[in-house]
Amino acid sequence: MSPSVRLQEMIRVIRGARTQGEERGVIQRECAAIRAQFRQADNGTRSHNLAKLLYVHMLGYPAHFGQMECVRLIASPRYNEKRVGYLGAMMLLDEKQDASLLITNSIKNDLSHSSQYVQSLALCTLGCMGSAEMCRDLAPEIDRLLRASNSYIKKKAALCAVHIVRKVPELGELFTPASRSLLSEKNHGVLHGAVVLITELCERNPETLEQFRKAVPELVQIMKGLVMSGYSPEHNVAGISDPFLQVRILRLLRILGRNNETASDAVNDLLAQVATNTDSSKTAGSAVLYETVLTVMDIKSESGLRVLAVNILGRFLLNNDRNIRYISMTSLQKIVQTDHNAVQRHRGTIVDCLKDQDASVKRRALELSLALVSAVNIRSLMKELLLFLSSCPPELRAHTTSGIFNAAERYAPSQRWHIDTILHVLTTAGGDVRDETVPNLIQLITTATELHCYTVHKLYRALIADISVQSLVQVACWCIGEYGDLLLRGECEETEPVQVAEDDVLDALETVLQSHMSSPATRGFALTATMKLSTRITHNVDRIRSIVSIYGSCIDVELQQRAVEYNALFKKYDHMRAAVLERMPVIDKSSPGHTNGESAGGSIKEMEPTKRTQEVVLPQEPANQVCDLLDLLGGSGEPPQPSPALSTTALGPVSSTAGGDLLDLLGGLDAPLDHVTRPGKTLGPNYRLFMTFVSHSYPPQSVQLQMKAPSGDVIPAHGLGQVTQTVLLNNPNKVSLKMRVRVCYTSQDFVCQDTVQIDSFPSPAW
Amino acid sequence: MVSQLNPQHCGNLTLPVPMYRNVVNIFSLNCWPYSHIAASRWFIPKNVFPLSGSLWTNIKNKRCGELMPIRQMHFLLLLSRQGKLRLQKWFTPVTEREKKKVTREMTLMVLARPPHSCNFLLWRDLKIVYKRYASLYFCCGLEDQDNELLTLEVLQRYVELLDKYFGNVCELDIIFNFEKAYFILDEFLVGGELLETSKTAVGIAMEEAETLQETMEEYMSKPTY
Repeated sequence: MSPSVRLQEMIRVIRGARTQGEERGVIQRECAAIRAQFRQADNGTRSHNLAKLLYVHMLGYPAHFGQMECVRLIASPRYNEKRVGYLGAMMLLDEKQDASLLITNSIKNDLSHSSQYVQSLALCTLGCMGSAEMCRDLAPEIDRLLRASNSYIKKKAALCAVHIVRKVPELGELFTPASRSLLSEKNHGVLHGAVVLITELCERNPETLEQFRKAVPELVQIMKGLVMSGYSPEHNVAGISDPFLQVRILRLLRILGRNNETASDAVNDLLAQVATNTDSSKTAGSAVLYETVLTVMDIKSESGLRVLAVNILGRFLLNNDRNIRYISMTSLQKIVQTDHNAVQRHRGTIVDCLKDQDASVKRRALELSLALVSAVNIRSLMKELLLFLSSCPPELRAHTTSGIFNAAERYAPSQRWHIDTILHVLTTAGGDVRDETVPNLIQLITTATELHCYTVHKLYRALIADISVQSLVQVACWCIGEYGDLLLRGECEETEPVQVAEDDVLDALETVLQSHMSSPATRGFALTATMKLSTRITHNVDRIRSIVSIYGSCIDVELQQRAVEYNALFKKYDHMRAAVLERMPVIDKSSPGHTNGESAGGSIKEMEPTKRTQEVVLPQEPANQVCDLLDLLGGSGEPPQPSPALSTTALGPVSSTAGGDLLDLLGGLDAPLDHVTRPGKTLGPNYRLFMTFVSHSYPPQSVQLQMKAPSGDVIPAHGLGQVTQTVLLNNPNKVSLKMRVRVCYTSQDFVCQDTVQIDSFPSPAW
Repeated sequence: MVSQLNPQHCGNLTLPVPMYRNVVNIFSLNCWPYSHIAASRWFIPKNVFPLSGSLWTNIKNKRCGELMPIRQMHFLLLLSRQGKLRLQKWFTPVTEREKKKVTREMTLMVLARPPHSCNFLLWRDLKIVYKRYASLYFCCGLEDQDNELLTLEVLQRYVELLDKYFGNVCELDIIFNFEKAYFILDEFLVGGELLETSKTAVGIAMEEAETLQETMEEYMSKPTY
């Protein structure tokens, strides 16, 4: 074919270029020649030049100067020029280019051309790159072509209409009548286009969806015809007659049958028939079966059919073909929530897929395994997941660890198992865990009080083995700091105890402190742990002192601040050290202090030593006070209402509120509000106080108490002032009241408590 | 092992190996597993397109307020083993820069897959279906709802059509006759959807179009007296 030789010649020359530079040179020359030719008047070579330009464009070189040429060629009367022009339009022009609007008129003319091939060019181009304005202009033309033309044009018009509907959804109504009539066509191409168009219309407009529900019987007929028909050489693919059309019809039936009983009923038989008659040895059959399964799952099908669908998916899982296994896992993922038990039956196969070589299959298997975790299978499944974690590809690790943690948290059969699992994950993949793993684990450890010994032994072993995994090291440091005495005691029921000396422990912590692998946060943990050990060990306190003082001049500001404070704790506040560094209370998961492990462990490092003592002391109060106060206030064995959780990191005075309603006393009588003024504390000279009024009173239900905030929190020395806190009591049953009030205060670094009993209330109160 | 994209390889490495023999051979899978690129938002920024006709706008279902996804094929690429693009068809409006970016990423991802691995990948929020035929990789980017197995069949059918047209098609045929490959594709897929399911209809249409073209050319080249 002589005309194309020049194009092929150019391609040959370009491919013969040995370097990138040479190629660029050739292309530049050619482009210059093409540009010159474009500027000239019409000679017979325009289409070839544009074809050459398109080749150059595909190699990645700029070709925007060809856009106007495309427009010109499209307008040409010659078919070959039109053909190349439209190809160029589809490649170089898209709806964002201004030149695309210029071809609208040409398309319009070509849509009414006498030759169907010219019409088809125009339809194809409009269907691929038509912009919204072009679509609006040309939609009536497309509708006309949908109704009255031959099947070759009808099928193209149908897909063009699909594109129009996607661009301008409002035009969907225009095409609805025509598409309905297209369903009675015999030509598969037209039928396919019609089904696609109807699918698009139904998805966008619920009214249209209602309309087309009436077409369900017709669609079922067509589908039955396809399934039961004999061999047709034109449409047969591996024994399935026209799988493309079958899949599209199934998809449309899915959309029509969703949330609709009648439509779903009409389709049940058909789906059963397709599911049983389709041969799935080749991909075509599997594709149809896959679509059938998706349809069964989505519509309101009967339960037998659903079981059949899950069985098909199970069969897919055992298939040798990786693609089919992947597909079945994708579908099982979608139904695992609704048909959980059915999917559980295939758990073994799914877990086996975790060991597959292919990364896509592994990912699917992982997600599905995580979805299948339940209280029953948690132990065995977790073993498999941990095995997977040790060999999984790096991009899946973060997902795996978070999945394992979630599963462990929800279904852990015992605390020891839970802690073991988390430690295993940290040792295997500690670098990929999320940040909140550390505080979560610490919180878990504190709640498992009987496992402290076991935990600290295990963590110590892990620490001396490897200090590169930051999360593990942080948790280990925290535990050693907290439970170091258990470690040093050298006995443990649950596991083989490690015989360590204090020096060894301190060595380990110091290694962490000094290692350049440790992040600043980890070093902070290690320093705090070292400090905590000062109250738990007996002999090496000086060593700890020296460590702490060294870090007082550390470059890292955070460490320096800690070290300085700990130094201060050693020097000026040594008497408080034991109280400050004692065992942490059980961290409540929902308390505001539980934001990250550092702050929970770091409450010790607050600025003012005095305020610290208050916070440490307070948590112990509620337990003491409940019993005392209850039996006074008409004690009727009411269960104590727990005091609101005291935040361990709160600074400043803590006032508790017993949530009583503010009610008038003695309903009806305007009795004066009962003010109870606590006697001020008179102290000798030179005492300056920080004071907090904390009174816990647990009245029985008939008495309601409201405590207001104290008027101040410092009582100056020498009795020069007083602080008043108002308590409102509502006593409708006129129970005789006594009240015991406990006052905690700090006076010159001594924590004191004082109790006052008030036996007699002024009688006008009731 | 990422194949080099050095154009010095653009010389004579493409052998005229027929890429389609019979149905059985097509199903040999030859690709490497490759680490997934984590899915992220689809790259087209919303402000590039006019809001009214934008394909990326999710249409709210008036009745129940769900968002309707737009399901279609986003692109079809043919990549050679050396990483050169042999055919590209984009069914959604994409800037030139983005096209290059996507092509590069596809090349890296697909060419690095080992043989006998799964033909489906997840990339950004699309499914990528690819199939290797001799020295060419056919890649499709699909929406989440599409049936991947059917897309494999679509790719298979396209190769069969090329084979029927060119007779024992190989990569060189597609290089030197790329415009014919496009014409065949346009008879087969329009707007990302399958146009013709019959095996013979596309071939017939191509023949008739060629006849029309030749008739016109003969007519045009006849000397006028």
